[in-house]
Amino acid sequence: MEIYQLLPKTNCKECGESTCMAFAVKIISREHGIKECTPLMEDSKYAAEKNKLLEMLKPMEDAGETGLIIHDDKCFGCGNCVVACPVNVANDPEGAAIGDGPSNDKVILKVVDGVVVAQNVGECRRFGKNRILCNACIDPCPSGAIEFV
Amino acid sequence: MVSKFMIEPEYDVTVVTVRDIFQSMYAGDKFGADYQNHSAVIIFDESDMRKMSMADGGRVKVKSSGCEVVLTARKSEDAHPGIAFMPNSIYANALIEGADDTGIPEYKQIGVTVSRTTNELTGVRQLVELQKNVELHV
Amino acid sequence: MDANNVARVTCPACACLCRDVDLEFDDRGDIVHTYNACRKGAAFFMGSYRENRALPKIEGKPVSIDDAVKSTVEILSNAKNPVIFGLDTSSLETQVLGVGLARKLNAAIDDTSSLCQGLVLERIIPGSMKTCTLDDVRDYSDVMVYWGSDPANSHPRHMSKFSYFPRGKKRQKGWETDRMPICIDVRKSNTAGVCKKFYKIEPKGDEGLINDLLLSLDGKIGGKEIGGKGIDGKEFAKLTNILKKAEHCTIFSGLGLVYSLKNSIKLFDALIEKLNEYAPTHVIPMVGHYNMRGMTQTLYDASGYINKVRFSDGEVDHGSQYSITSTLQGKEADAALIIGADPVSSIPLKTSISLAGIPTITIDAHETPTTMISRVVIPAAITGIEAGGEALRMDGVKHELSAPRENKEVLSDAELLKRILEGV
Repeated sequence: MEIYQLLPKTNCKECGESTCMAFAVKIISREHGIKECTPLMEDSKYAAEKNKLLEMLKPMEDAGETGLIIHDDKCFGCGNCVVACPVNVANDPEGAAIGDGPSNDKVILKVVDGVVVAQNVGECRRFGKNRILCNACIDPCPSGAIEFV
Repeated sequence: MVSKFMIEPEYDVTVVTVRDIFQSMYAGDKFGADYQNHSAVIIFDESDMRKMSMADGGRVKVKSSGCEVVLTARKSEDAHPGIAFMPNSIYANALIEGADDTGIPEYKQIGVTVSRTTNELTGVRQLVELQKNVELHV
Repeated sequence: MDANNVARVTCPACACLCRDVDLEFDDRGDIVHTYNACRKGAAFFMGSYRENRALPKIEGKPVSIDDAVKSTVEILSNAKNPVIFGLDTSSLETQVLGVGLARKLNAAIDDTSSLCQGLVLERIIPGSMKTCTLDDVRDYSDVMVYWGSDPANSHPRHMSKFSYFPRGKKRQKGWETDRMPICIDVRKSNTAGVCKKFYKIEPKGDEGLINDLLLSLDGKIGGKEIGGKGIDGKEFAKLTNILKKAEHCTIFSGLGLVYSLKNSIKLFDALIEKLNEYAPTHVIPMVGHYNMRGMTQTLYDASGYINKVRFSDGEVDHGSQYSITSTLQGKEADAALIIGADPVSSIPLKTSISLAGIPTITIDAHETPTTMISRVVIPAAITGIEAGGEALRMDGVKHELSAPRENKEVLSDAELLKRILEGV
């Protein structure tokens, strides 16, 4: 709703959606990027709103497609998330699933230089058409180092 | 405005030592700034900090019968009025009296008084030198 | 990751001794990346060998290693009441040499366990308290109790590798349904934050909690508010029930529990015995230094006691008067040999500083507050990076340590002790 308030609200359909509200919803679901709103980007009378929106949505852009953000400075490198992630378990039954370091490159989470890093995020259960609100890497984190935006 | 001539009020708290991964990862160099900054720390309950008018990140003088050190005050995310936490290090050990007949020192119940200060943090080297001079001149 | 420059090693940053850590080296042989190691392990492998290395010194002046060893032999040979302390971060082989030196010198010998997990280890090692291995925990434990321990900070991979998150033989369904981790502590630690149950007790509240548990297991109390400890009666009843109905329970005793109980440790014996009437319940002490379990086992094998020992002409005496704190408080020692330990940081400073008043020799890889006050400092290789050997994990399982990086400028503590043993 905050996003919608800052959009031009002209329902111009240039983004391909029939209303600005529909466009705002699809920004949240990552089906549209804010830059697809051409009036907002190009018309100087929306400059203030444009800047606000770009700032507000920056964490989402940084987080990439799944919205996963890892705060390196907080991470203990304990690997709880590596072992708890159901995709890691399914893709690496001989390694991550039994508590060891990943034994192949199909995992999403692994620990490098003492902090967790993400790869293959397309495999994350929060991604794609059948996505679900999985918290299996957030709940086991002792330091609040993982969040989704 | 507190007058600079005014003596800072002192408060009694009980210190419990704890482990901190960020402190222990720097234990290879106990004279390094990272180790000292993560060790010279005392974590207070938020309501205690308000009562003592202490700011998160401010400096405090922590005194026991044996020693006095200047540490950084930190605000806890948990509630534990009257109790403060310190990572186990030379700073906590400077405040502990000796051990009882079990040989185990009181790492989990150190009685201290704390007050605000503008003094510099106590350095590890400084702490050892000070005690060493006392020992050698007994 | 270039496979040519990678070595698989055992991590000695804590007593979990993780064996799945990969190190990546650059062309000069420096460790530039770690894989699978936690924050503590990564700092150990990438930082510890580069910085703050100890140099051979006598009274603060640089000398050769040979001279430092010679001076050590002199000091120890002339001492009537020498004390040896440390060896918790040395290999089993070095520990055997250290105990042999104590025997030869008629010295008192102690390690950090006397002010750490000694009270639990002196039950576990002779077998009077039921224990199991971390592999058993991974395969079978459905209930795990972190009591006065905070592995998230002290043993970061403990929960992911062994005790909570991994799948095991009988724990195939995953942590959400298979495991019930419980934390008992005086504060909401990082570990408490991820456990399914957290019981916050007052400092020194462990004794009261054990007494209540003993009564409640027998059905003598329950349902009402448990006095003074801030635990709700209903929640307390749940705790009793979980412990009673466990298929395989493991209690990870931390320093919070040990320090709180001290002389009342017998109550803990009673609790474990009582719990075993209902459910198989095991204790694993959360040993800090990576080979403290090894040192206590080594000394036990040699003397019948895990710590606080005095050798005298082949005879063995034991008691709290030989703990490092008592020895130094009583100012009885007339020389000290510290091996891979930093008592000036880890025991009360007013006690440890008396090391400055006697000839103290410290063998360590790094400069520490203890080397600062030592008459003789002898640098050693870092075991686990520059020297190998074997060590016992916190549960007593033996693992081989790695030596992936050579350092010709220093000797291993085993080599140093051999030379000292030849001299005295």
